[in-house]
Amino acid sequence: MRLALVVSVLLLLVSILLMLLATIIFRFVRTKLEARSATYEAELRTMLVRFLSEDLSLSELRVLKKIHSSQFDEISEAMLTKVKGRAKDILVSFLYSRGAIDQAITRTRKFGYLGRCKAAMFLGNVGIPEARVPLESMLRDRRRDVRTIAVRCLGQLGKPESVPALLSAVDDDEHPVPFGTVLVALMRIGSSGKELMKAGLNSGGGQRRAAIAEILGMEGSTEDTPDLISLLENDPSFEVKVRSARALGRIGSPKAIPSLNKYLDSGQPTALRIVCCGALAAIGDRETVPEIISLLSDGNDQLARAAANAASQMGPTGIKYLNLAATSNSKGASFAKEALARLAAQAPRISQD
Amino acid sequence: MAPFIATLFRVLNWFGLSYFLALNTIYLILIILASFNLGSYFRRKTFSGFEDALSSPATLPVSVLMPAHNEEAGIVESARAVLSLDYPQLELIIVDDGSTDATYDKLREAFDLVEIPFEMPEMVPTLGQVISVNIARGLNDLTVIRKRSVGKKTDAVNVAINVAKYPLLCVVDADAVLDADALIKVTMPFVDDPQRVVATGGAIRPSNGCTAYRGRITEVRMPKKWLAKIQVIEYLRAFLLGRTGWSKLGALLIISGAFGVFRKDVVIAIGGYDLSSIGEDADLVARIHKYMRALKTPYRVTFVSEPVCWTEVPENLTILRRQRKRWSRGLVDTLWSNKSLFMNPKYGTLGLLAIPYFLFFEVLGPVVELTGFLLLLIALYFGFVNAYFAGLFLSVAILYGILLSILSLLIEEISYHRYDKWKFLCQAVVASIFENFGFRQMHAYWRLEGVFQALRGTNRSWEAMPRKGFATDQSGTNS
Amino acid sequence: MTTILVADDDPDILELVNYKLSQSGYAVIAVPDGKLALEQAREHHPDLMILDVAMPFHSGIDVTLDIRKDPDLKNTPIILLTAKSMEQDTERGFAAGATDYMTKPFSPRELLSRVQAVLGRTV
Repeated sequence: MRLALVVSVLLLLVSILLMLLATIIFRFVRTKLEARSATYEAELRTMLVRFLSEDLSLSELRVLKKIHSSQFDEISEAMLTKVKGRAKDILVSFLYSRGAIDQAITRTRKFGYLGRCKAAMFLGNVGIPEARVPLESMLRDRRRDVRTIAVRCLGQLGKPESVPALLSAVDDDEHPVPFGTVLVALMRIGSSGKELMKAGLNSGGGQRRAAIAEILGMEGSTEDTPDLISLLENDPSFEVKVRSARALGRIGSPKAIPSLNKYLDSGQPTALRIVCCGALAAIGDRETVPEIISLLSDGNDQLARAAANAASQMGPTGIKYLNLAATSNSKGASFAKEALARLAAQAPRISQD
Repeated sequence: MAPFIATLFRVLNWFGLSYFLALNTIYLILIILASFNLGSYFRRKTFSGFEDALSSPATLPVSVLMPAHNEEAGIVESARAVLSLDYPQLELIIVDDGSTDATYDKLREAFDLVEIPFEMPEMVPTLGQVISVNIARGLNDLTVIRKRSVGKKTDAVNVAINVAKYPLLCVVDADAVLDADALIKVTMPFVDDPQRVVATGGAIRPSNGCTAYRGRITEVRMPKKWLAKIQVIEYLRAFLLGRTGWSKLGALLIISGAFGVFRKDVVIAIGGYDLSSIGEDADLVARIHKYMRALKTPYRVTFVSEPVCWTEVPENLTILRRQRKRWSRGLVDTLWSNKSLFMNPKYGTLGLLAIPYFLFFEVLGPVVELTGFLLLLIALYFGFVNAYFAGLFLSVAILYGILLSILSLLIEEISYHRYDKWKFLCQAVVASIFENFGFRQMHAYWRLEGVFQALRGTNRSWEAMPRKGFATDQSGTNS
Repeated sequence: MTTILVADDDPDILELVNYKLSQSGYAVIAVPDGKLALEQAREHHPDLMILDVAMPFHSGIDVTLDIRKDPDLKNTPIILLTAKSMEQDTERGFAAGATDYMTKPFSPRELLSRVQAVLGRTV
């Protein structure tokens, strides 16, 4: 027994000392490396910047010994995300000439998942069309991280052809990807992918349609109003309904008013009523003010407050009705007063601008 | 008689030692789990997409809730710092909970507040009467609510929950200093996995000694006082690595009240903070677990180790004692009011691992530790054990404790290395050793006091902690 | 000589802007954070400031607000440079008093022409 104790004391002591040593060595090495790379980095960066500004030709750059280091690769890859236009073209053709791009395409199939992540990031940043197919196949990678990066990079690439692959990634339960990342990717692809997106409305799950509704709203084009109206009215998914209603508000076409009005009814879920109320305010048609004001006396306070704030954003007509509501002794009077006070607090900033 | 007593003492001592070993081994496992998690976090860091999240429509807007009671010294700076966090859309709601100083006047002056008529919704229960609701003129989305205090911070937070307009709630202490990217990083799990994530917490570190400028930490330094230095190690071990470990096991019970983000619909569904609870932070998380399990939908409560919230820790014994007593009391209270979780397989790792751990080791720990220590002394005095043996006993216990602290330091060195001067490293090593002589025993005693108080059931109210605050002169140094 | 103050915490961008503007004959003061940006602006009275929005200590918007309040500096044109393309940032930036706005990734050439345009407008 005594021996066991002695041994454990010694073991503990030794491991403490080893850990201390490890900490010290680690810190020592790290600080040394950091100091060295910092001096190098500044030099390399200056060279890269001169090259990108066309003050240093490719042949002049090649002669320099220092650029044949992995650090220079790192700096040039980091620079990819920061420039556009001519400077980016120069950088991409330089990376091509180094073989970095072909290398990355091969690496997308490698075993180590970090390698695959890095390769995907790189391809997304370079933004060459050849990257699309390997990136799309990465949407079914077994690691979630890799799939997420593939989504993000397809967005950076911005090719409309990747829309169907991104949309099926949203629905793929075996290979889930973060919804938000897909949204950003689709947003980046933008209007050029819209036709393909709408084609995706007729198949797949609710998440996909929710994504499409959101993107159509951000695109803000009035021609999408009918599609969104049909989503709002017919879609079985609540989330899709909510997103469609919000999108209709963003687009702002008065054609959406009748459908949005329908969802103000007390039979509808509160969340949807609130969103429709906001959407109507965003469209801003004077004719809808009385309808919105009538919600002030609704039993649901959350909705009543949202309605009052919505009305306050609808110009003189909204304000006129709110003033009326504020002086009445109905239940909505306090919400009307609050909305007017909020508007007044914002007023000085509007007049200052 | 004597041989019997001697044997009894022997058995008790061995029991004490094995208990101690078990406790520390559990901690060792947690730290190792945490280091795996930190490892993958760091490897993925370059791909995490924070920049995207800043401009993504899927990043949910956040209502930042800041309860304040007599915070005139730093409230304006804290408010400014929150309003200028890197985040696409946030509102700040400050609840001035019965301050008797100029907390409100300072805010009114700085942000040009104007009172608005406001019908208080009652989504979660509140007690203290609301005096006025004020909003800032201009671009800042700031609401300041003045209310009568009932002596409970939870009541102030519940009022803020009722006013919050966004789907995520972030509760922040008025004296906390957040890193600029802390909020976006702690909400990332909600963006990545919106269906399942219901609550996240960020790492807390002591701000004592650090220099700050305009509500942001500019240089991380070790505190000057040894009591605070020890707490730096403690926070590192328990709040950074311990919680990362629990989170990895899917059994995170405590999200610090100083910095956590919650889904509003869930918080409202469980009725907000429990006004009668003492350990409000753990209690909220425990009830979120209960609620989500009852819904039978998969969910996650996650700890994100990187987002840093800096908070001033007590530098004198009286205040530290009060704080630790309260924590311990709160823990007992939470475990008691959520006793249905205990050893309940329905609650998975939380019910089977975390809750029993907190009961057997965090609550009963100080009892065993102190009685064990006393027994050893008695045994030594009556000659039931010899000095050599007792020395070995104590050495094993103490060295194991030191080992955990040094391991935490090593992991910090490999991962975040926020204390980057050699001097700070030396001080940290010395503090991890010192912690075991005096501080540890004192801490056990305070926790024991807390446990007793909880059993007796006494009231709790806002506890004043005199803030030194930061010197915020132009050079940005803190003296 | 026309002096331009550039503040960005990203060393790559700082160097890019610095080099491009120096090559075009401007005197450039390059600083890595908002605090130094304010200090240097008060000392050197630059003719133009190019500020990153998300910087340590003071955001570009905070610096803009402070510059607009400073009687000696309040007419200095300011171009904000930022990774965020969110609408409300543009709004906040202009409300704070920024003259022009550019989002990252950016083209150094385009930046140069904007600088020339802004300086031409104010001179």
